[in-house]
Amino acid sequence: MKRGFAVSFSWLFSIMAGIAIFLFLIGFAYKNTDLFGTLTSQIAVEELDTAFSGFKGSLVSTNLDFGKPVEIKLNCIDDVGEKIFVNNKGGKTLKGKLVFGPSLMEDSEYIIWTKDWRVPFKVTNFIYLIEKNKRYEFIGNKHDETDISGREVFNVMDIPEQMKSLVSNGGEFVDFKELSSYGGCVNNEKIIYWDYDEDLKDVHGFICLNREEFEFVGSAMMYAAIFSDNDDKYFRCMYEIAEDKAEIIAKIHREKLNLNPICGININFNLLDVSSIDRVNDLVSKNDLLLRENNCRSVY
Amino acid sequence: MNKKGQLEIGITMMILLVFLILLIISLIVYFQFTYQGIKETRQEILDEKFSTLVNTITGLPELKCSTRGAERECLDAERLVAFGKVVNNVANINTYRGIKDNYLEEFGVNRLDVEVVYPDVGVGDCNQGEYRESCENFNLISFKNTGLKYTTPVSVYYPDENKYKIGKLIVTAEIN
Repeated sequence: MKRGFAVSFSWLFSIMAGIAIFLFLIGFAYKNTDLFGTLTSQIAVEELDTAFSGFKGSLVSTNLDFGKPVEIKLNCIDDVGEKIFVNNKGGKTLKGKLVFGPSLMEDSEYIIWTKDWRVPFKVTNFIYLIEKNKRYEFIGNKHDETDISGREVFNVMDIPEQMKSLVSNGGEFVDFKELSSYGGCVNNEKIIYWDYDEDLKDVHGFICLNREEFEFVGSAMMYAAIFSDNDDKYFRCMYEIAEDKAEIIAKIHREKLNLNPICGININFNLLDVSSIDRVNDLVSKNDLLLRENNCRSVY
Repeated sequence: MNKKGQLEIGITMMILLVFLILLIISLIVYFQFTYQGIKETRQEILDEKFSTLVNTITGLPELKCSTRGAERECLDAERLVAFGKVVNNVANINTYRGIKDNYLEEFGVNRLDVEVVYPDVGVGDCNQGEYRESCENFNLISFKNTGLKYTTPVSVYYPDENKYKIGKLIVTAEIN
């Protein structure tokens, strides 16, 4: 009986030690291999968020190499706001960061590029997140069939070389048309009606995304449309946030102007319509006038 | 036989005891290392967070100096006042989706200040009175006064005097 007890005790001890070692190994394997990918996704999304925060204040063009295919989803959820997901697991709110790109991407390498949005004062940097292997084919012409091809739209503006590689035949269609031909968004295609304003030295026009119309000023917004999906609630969400941001900055400029009542030019930041080229040009000329004629400082 | 059995039980008990002691010691050592690692990671994350935040704030078009759209590496004193007014204006709470809450959430801070340190400009809150006179503190946004403080030197430009002063940007944030 006692011998039997001694044997049972040895077994009990072996089982306990075995379980402890087994749990340690499982824990070690989980930590180091991240079997379920949750940790990697969360780390990736945190790193992206930190990078986006930095990119808000600087103009960059960089590559992001995950080493293996990673799915990135950009989403705008009611009452929650804009969020980024990596591999459908890590989720992070993009508060105040205007990140544009297709709603769903999957690639091992991504291009991140920032461009400042000016209407005419700087509002913020738009951040573009695009799959490195994605291709866009520009169709349509600005003036006539043989004059300016869509490809040359990129050459009009300051765009890094690596972005130019995204434009090639066989990619996703982006249709460019002359602004004067605009008569509303009548079909489901992604069409950008644009013109180049010599005074502002920037583009303006209308973006049609799946019959939805977005008036725009600034090449930054045009690129945002190029890289967004056609049927895209996310673009509308970002567009509205960008307009809100522009309104806040306009309000700050108005307050600044109020600090100097002696500079009596009536710059109307109250009724700012950031998408109207006339309003934007009016702001440019009045801001310049402050410097030239009234011995004042420019507002922006 | 009886004694041999008792001896075996005693040996097993001793081995079990030694094993448990070793297990506890190794767990303590392991968790101490892990805790140290977590503390270091936390410090790194905080440094990175604050460093990025400071860069972001000093680069905000809401605050940064510019002339005809050309930006300079300084903070515009008039915009600091204007920003404080817009953010803290009660009338703006319900408009623009709550400006103050948006900024607090965006930056993840409790408080943001710019304090002029040189030349000596006296004491006072620049948002309350005439910013050109004796005031040293521009409060940009305020939710709570407590938290970890992170400061960085900044150049503050006074457009009306066309002068630059040395200040420090003070970020007060919760330690999460």
